[in-house]
Amino acid sequence: MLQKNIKNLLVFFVIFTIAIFLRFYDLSNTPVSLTIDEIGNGYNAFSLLKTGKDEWGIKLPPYFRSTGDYDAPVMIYLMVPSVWAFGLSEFSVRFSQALLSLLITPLIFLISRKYIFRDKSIILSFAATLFYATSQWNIIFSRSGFEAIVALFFVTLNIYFLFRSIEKKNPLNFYLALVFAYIATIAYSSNKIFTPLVNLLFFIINWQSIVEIFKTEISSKKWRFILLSVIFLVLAVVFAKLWIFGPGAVRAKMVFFTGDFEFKRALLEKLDEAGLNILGLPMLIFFWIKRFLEYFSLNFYVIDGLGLTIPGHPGSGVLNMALYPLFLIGLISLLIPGKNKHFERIKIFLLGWLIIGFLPATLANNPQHALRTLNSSTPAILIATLGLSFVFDFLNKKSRKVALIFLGAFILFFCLDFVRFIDYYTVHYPYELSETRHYGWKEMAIYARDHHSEYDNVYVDPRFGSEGRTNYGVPYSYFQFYSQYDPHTFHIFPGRDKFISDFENYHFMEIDFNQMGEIKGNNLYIASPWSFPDSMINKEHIVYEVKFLNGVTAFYAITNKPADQEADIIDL
Amino acid sequence: MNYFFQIITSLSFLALFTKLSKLSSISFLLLVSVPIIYFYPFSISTLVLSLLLALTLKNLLVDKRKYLNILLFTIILTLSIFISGHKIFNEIVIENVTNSQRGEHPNYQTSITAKILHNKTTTVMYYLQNLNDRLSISTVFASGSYPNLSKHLPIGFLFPWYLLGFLLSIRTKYKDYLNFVFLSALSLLFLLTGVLTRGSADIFMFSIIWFICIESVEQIQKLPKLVTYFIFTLNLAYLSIILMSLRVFLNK
Repeated sequence: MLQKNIKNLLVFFVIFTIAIFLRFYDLSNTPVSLTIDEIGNGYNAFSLLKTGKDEWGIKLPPYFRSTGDYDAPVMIYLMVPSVWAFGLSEFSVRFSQALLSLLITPLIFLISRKYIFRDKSIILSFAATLFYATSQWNIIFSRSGFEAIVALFFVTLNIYFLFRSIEKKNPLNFYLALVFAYIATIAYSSNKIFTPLVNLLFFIINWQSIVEIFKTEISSKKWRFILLSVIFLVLAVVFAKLWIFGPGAVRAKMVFFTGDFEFKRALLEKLDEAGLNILGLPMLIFFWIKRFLEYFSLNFYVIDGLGLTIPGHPGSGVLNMALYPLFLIGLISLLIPGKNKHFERIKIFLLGWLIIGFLPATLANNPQHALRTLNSSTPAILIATLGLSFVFDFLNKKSRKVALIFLGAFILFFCLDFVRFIDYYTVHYPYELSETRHYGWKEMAIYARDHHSEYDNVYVDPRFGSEGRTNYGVPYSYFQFYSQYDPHTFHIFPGRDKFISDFENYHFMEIDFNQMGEIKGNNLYIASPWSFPDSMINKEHIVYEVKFLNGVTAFYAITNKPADQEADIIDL
Repeated sequence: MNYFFQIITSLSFLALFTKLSKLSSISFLLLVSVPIIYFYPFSISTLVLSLLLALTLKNLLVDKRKYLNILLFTIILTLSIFISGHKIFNEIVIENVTNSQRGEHPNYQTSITAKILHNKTTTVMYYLQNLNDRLSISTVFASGSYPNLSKHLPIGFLFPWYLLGFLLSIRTKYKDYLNFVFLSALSLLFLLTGVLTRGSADIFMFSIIWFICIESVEQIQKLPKLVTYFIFTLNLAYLSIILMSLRVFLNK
């Protein structure tokens, strides 16, 4: 028995080590460049650490105004200890998400072993844990500043404690589950829909056990029950006030699917033009159904669901290609009626968990959004594991040899596709999409930090893009981040109360030389090539150039005085 | 003329199927109201062969006279491959993307990794993409792919609620679906749908869609009568909405 336990512990340790490696190896540089959101969150955490206020000077805010979209608070507060420990850097900004993603690994094992596959071999639970540890859906969001992974950690804890409360018949576990549900709900917009619904589903499936637990609780610990109920009620009111009706809901309103570009421009406007407004509502329903069903399409799972390549290029889906057929088989097996009552309830919960995980994303703009559906990654992995068990058992009944050959082929295919994912993530993603990760702002911010005192003014144009000024960035955060600009000085800078982000001699504004006429003074201009007239794009004026990783020029730093030195051009 | 012939052919086939399978008359209405019949410009050979393939596939699933069914399926499939023109999907596109992605690797000219990772895998990915474009759940039940309608119009080849009927079919007949002969025949149709050009793949793609439609309707008609009639009313409402908005979304 002891020997078996040590062996199991060793297997878990190996899987955990793989998870550590995949989440922490070269965390500062992979993926390339901190995005505008990461930079903003990092600077807010830095500001909280130094002053107890966010970048706008608001003391311990319940949500972060940030760049106007009122970011959820949990991730930024969790970032503070790592910024304190490691200083303001790429690593410290990404550390907390990677750590929470890692901590989900043992939770997946516990949920699999104790509840989902409790009547089956421990190997299945190890398989599910390994699939999570190597899950590309989770890895890419663990290594970059995404709130969704923070919410996923708390949701997984929430679900674990829900199961545990039923198992132990202990209301304390249930209260703990609610606390984690609350944190998850305020950690990420999608979870405002997902977390309450998935909890509701759990209650509906297990209502008899839950009623049983609370009957005992009310009869033996009435006052504890009343007190905690009041606390949860107050918390629910606070939640509604701040994050449902307050500014914390801004982001959700911004991305709601009625504002979807395709729906508005390609459907609604055309119906309006033809005087068929009456068909708007049914069309919205059909459009929503289409969006929902797109989450069951093959391309999301194996071809390009992660968005690691430009449109038209195959990339990587959210699941390992070897897992996809098993996921389908697992899904089908959920439909097949069985005799084990416990497992029938588990099957309904898994299917509901998956579908509810897709729901918030279907109510938002953009089709097939891997980030907004991250809550579905766990049930998808568990369903694929169920599929693996189904196929193996089916083949094993026919012939042990065939079952083992299948297993060997599966492992080989799994490893090959994992290598393919690593190739896309580390080679093609930075090459094809460095622009979408806002590559170049860091380099410009560091250049400006070292040279801005040589100029009267530094003007920065927030618009950029390789095919035109198609992106509107928030570059001031990069310039603050990489010069570790004192947040207190920034809070009291003149104009900050009017939402102006200029500081020192930096000015963030749209630059259009063709409309500016003659330019006087000793100034530095930082902008994409689209902002400058051809006459200025030459060695006389360019003092620094940054290219996207595909070789297209991202930004120039140009002075209106002829430069007395060679342009400092980054070579690939 | 072709359009009317298309509708008459579909109705006749489906009526014959309803009669032979001893389905109720409401099943016939559920079968013949599907959008695909009215909005897809079938060539007659595609329509007839895809319907025939779907019916023989259905026979492979339920009928015990297997050898005759296998023979019938093989004959119709061979004829379909011959008639479809069997053009394989454009290899030049695949080659260009393969070369482009190889070129993104450092030292790509000598890199073995670049060659191994961007070789046949790119081809497989393109075939899978084809399959997804033509037969994803979203395409079949919600977005379709009608050459003469705007791609943004959310109209499937079948009604969205027919997906529930098909899931019911899997739930009740999963043992039949695990039949090796049936799975092989179905895989063959999927394979052909993925590797051929759109024009050549039509017969195989629509045979699968017809099959799903028949299975779904068979399950829906087993539901309480009130529900079945409600679904038929939903079908009519859906068709009316699409018909009302059709002129706005016609490709010019």
